[in-house]
Amino acid sequence: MKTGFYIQWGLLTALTLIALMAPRWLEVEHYLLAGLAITTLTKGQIIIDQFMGLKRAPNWLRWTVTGWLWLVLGTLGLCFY
Amino acid sequence: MTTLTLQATPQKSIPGDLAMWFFILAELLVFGVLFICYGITRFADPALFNAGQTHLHAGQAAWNTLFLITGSGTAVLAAHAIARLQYRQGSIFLVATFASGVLFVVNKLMEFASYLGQGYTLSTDNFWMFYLFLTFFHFLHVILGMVIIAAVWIKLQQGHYRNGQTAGVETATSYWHMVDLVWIVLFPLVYLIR
Amino acid sequence: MKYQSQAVAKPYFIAAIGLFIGQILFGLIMGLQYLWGDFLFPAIPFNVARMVHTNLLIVWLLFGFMGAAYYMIPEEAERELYSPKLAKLMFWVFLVAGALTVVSYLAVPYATLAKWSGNGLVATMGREFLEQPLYTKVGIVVVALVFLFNISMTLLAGRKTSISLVMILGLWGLAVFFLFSFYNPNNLVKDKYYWWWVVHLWVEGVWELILGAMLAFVLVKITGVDREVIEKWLYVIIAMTLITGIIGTGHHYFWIGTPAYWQWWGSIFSALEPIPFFMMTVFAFNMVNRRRREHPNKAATLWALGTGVMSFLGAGVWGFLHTLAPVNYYTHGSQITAAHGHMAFYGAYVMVVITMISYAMPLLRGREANSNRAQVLEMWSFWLMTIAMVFITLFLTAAGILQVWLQRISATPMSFMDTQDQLRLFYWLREFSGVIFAVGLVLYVISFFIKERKTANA
Repeated sequence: MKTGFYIQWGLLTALTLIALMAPRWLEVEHYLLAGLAITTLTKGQIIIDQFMGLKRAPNWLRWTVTGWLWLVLGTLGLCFY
Repeated sequence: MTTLTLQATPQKSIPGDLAMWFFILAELLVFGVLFICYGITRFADPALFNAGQTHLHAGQAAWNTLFLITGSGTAVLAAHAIARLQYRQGSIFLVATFASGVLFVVNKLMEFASYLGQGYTLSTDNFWMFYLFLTFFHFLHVILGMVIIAAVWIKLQQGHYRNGQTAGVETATSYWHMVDLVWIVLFPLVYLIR
Repeated sequence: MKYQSQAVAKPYFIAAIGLFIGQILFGLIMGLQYLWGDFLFPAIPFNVARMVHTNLLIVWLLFGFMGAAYYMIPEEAERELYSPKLAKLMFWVFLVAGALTVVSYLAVPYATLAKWSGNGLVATMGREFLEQPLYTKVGIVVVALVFLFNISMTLLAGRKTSISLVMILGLWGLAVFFLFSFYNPNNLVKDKYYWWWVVHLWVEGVWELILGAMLAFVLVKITGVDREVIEKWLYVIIAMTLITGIIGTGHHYFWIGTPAYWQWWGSIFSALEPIPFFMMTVFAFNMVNRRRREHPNKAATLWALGTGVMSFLGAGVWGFLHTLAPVNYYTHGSQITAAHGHMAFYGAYVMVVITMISYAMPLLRGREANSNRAQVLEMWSFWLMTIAMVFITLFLTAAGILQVWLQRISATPMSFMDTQDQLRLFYWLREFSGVIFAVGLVLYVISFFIKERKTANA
């Protein structure tokens, strides 16, 4: 468990810093949108599957929370596209 | 009507209490609706939101993301330690989660003070109305998360959760992870995306 | 009944039912006044009838809540009430004060009453639901404080359960928010702003805690489901109630001169207020389905399930119908509001008080449940009152939609009174449903007096 856990934690930190720098690196708005969508989705999925541990939870719960993340990010993506 | 059973299936189990998960799902719904309202309002007037966003301190907010993530990490470690009957370690990790909450709260209060000092209020414009309300509403949830973590820490000191009974701990850490998850969406939404 | 002092609940319940009858009587009078404006004029003008109708409702529900607390708290705390004498004394104080208030509404013109009762010194009167003269308001505070002292002392010395803690939190909240009825700033916007702190934060805030606690108490008793399970649900429901309900106050701030952001927060949060009510419905049915025993009091079970369903429909669904700011822009203060008010009050608070009475009254009279015949009659009254209320709500909703259309949406809007003339059919139907409701109430009262039929060999 330990190694995997620290990788996930490191990934969350790294993705946060990448997201912070993204507006400077990606000047084209659509690239920025894609970049932030990917980092946010990855971070959210790590929290849901690993930290919340929903990977080992009944499907209805896992997919409700995952569905929430995808639905919210998808709708926001449309709003910012 | 269909009935909900509170027992989970044997192999796949719900982390913590089902009642807490209902609460978490309801909270996610509240935040989801708020985020989408933000998105739609921003869609109607991107210039206003982009202008408002340039006044925000994204660096300070990134620190807050790191605080919440770290708190989530130590919360996972706490639950694991208690499951393996290492109560001292579990206790320390819970304190760490609480402390990360304190850092978030202090940092966020300084950020709020800076904006309010510059004269921004809920009535300034739609951007500030959403920004201040969303982040303040989330801020209250961080405090509630800290209260829940503190309650579990106290129960741990009183000798609860012996024999690896971690359901109570997982109930609390699940809530904390929810607060973290919401912030993970909120942070790029208000501070970064243009 | 496990503790002698629980018996003080009995007069409270009887008074509650008595005032309930009065409330319905004035409801019927007003229903007719919608059709014949000068019915009973000048003896009982519409504004007075309305005041009596709404104030009696509030007072009898308060009697019901207090009776429920006196019944529940000793049993939950596992000890006798701190002072049964004080409880009996406060009963008479509250009853006499309430009766005097109603009599003074009916006997003298409101303006004269205001003059007499010192409204010139501390102006608190003249606001919807808070019409009571100053001495009644002070009386309510005194009775509430003595009552809270009595049950808080009982609880402090005894076992503390989640149910009793939620109950007492709700009751303290009720008393604290009532204090805003004394705050009456000259600025009309501020006046309305804080007025809602009493009205809204009662019915969509602290009263919901009382409702949740009372329902949970009865469900623990009649289903035998583990207290732990019920308490978890209770916590989740009240947490959600407070999150949505407190900021949801904003749905009253749309058009009264408050900042525009309330249109957002009021709409969003109040749109989510049905969630805790829905959870309450799921909770009630789930607990009854998982029951560990067959309680002989079927009527109480029926009322408990009815509370779950009707509070969700009346408070949740009918509230949601007109809570979004763009919708409320048209429907504000129309018959749609009246439809929501009727079903929400009946479904949530009337039914939960009757649930408690239905459960506790047989025990207070020395038996676990009423005879089968009495229960059958009580269930008839349940269906008559509930179905009648559904129809009252539907007819008022139809009237409201037509009203909004003719008066506010149409390209050639009609005046208020011309519109009212167009709604007469619905007002007739509503009045007819009201009569059915009254019949149900009469059956309910009769069910208390039905004795067990003597069997042949008895």
